[in-house]
Amino acid sequence: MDFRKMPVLMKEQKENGKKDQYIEITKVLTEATDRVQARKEKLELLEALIGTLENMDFQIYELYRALADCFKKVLKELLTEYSSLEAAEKQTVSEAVKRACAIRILLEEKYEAYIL
Amino acid sequence: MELKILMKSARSVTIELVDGGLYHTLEPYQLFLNDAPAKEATQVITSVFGLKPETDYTLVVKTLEGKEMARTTFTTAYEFVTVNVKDFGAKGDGVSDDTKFIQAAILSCPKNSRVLVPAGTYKITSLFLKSNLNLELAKGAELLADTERSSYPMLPALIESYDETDEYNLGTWEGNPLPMFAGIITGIEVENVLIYGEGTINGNASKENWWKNPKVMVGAFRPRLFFINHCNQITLQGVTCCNSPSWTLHPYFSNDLKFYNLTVKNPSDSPNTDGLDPESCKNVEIAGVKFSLGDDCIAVKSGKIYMGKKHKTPSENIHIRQCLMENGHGAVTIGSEMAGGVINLVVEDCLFSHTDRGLRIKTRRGRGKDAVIDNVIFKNIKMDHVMTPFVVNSFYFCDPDGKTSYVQSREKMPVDDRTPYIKSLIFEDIDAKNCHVAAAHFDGLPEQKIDEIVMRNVTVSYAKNPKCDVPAMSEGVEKCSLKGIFANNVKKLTLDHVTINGCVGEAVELLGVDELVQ
Repeated sequence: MDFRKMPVLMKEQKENGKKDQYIEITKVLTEATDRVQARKEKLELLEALIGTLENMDFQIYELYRALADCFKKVLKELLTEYSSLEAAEKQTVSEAVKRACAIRILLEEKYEAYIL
Repeated sequence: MELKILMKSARSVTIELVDGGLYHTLEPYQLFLNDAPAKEATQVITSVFGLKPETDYTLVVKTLEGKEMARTTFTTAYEFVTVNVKDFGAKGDGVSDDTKFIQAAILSCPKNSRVLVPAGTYKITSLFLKSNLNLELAKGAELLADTERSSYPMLPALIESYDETDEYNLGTWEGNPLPMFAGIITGIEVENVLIYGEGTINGNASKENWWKNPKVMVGAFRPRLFFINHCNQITLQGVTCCNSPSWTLHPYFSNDLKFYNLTVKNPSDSPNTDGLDPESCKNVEIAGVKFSLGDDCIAVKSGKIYMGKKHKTPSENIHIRQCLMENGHGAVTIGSEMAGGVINLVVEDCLFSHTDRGLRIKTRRGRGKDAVIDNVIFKNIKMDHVMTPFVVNSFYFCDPDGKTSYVQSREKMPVDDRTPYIKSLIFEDIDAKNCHVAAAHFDGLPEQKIDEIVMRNVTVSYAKNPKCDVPAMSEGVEKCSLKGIFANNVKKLTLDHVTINGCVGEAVELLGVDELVQ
């Protein structure tokens, strides 16, 4: 499955009050985190991760936490090359950081410099 | 008759009368302190309050007819000052919010002193404990909890460290780090606390407030009546706890705990109102406690997958004795959140009455390789109208993801990091009368069988009009009544002087039992 579809799938789970796809969604995104190398894909993955987390019920905490850890890993990889990112790419990072701070996945005071 | 002093403070003493009785003594008795009548009682373990500091006492036990049965002497402990909450502004009128006045008294109390809550009804939200505290709830004193959510502080689930290498866990719900409202009594990293007396902590919960839509998180998860997190040397003595919003007494990652002579009561239909749930706790003694409530009387836990894997902190050295468990789902339960393991649990000299199950182990695939249950001993227990006295369920489905095919499959799965392990369970000298559903239901995993179950001197008989229900909550287990012992996926099962009187069908049904010793 394409990791880019996971936020939509998670949103459907939320709207239907279901959790039967949680394990599969987590698997797709964690595998993508291990696999993705290209910058463009990493940015897409970052968006997919935060979009999924925003709609995820944290009561199955181990899965929620696994995705939160994936988000941080991908973000940190992108931040190591932050100075070379283009403006649009920085904007994508900024949006993701902002959303992650809002759901307390990131400490805002530590990442506020990346919020444009 | 042997008379033991279990604990004493400056103002109280808890004693145990060993006469062969379980929870109740064989005969009622009266206590005299320095020749003055102190109380009449019928419990093996009882407490006397209203003592004076640094005073010598002679305690005499007499029959109601006046015959002396036993005596002992003791000296109460030193006390510096009494800090009376009324002197701090508390009204105790049941209307005014007394939280800040009592909290101020607690924070102002010096070492070796007591905070006294005299008779009265004190409306409160959350009170936070501090170290080196003696908090007395006097006879007639009631801490009556507010039920307005917005009045309660919240405990965040996890706060990440600034360097992002660690985290600080405050809130918890059913084994996961999740936000919760602070407990009505809360202790965070405190030690050497005694809460005692004849007073009451009333959670004031009802179906109009906390028990309405109980599984839905509104702002945060429901508060516990008593919640301690990373605390040491905490003792509760004598008090009554009732109408808890959720689990009543919840010690969490805390050690050296004593619960003596308490009464824990919640309505039998109240949701998730477990009595006492030690979670990742070590050295816990629970003695002379009466439970009557709506869920498990005692549930020993150690977190769900994340907490179990991260902290690897089992609940261990838990000793439960001389307790009365009434009306709960399980009298003593392990799990279902037990990913850190449960080791050395001894339950002895207890009465279980009208609970759905006696021992109840709830686990399932996914709990992890640290989810090891070992050295669980039940001995000298009488059960009456317990639906199924012994239940070990490795396929427990009451979880958000408990009904997945991975959890519920009866096929052999690979043993991996997700597989829980049940080692040794021993049941000795147990008399279970008026059972309804089944004598025992032991259901292990095919890939990781239960190592050993010993049943020695166990007698089971059935009710005349038995109820029909499921012995365990897992898929494929049908409702039934009057069943005998069912054992599935057990390496070694010992049935030594086990008597099953009046079951329908086979007294013993075995599947996947490698060795049977009779």
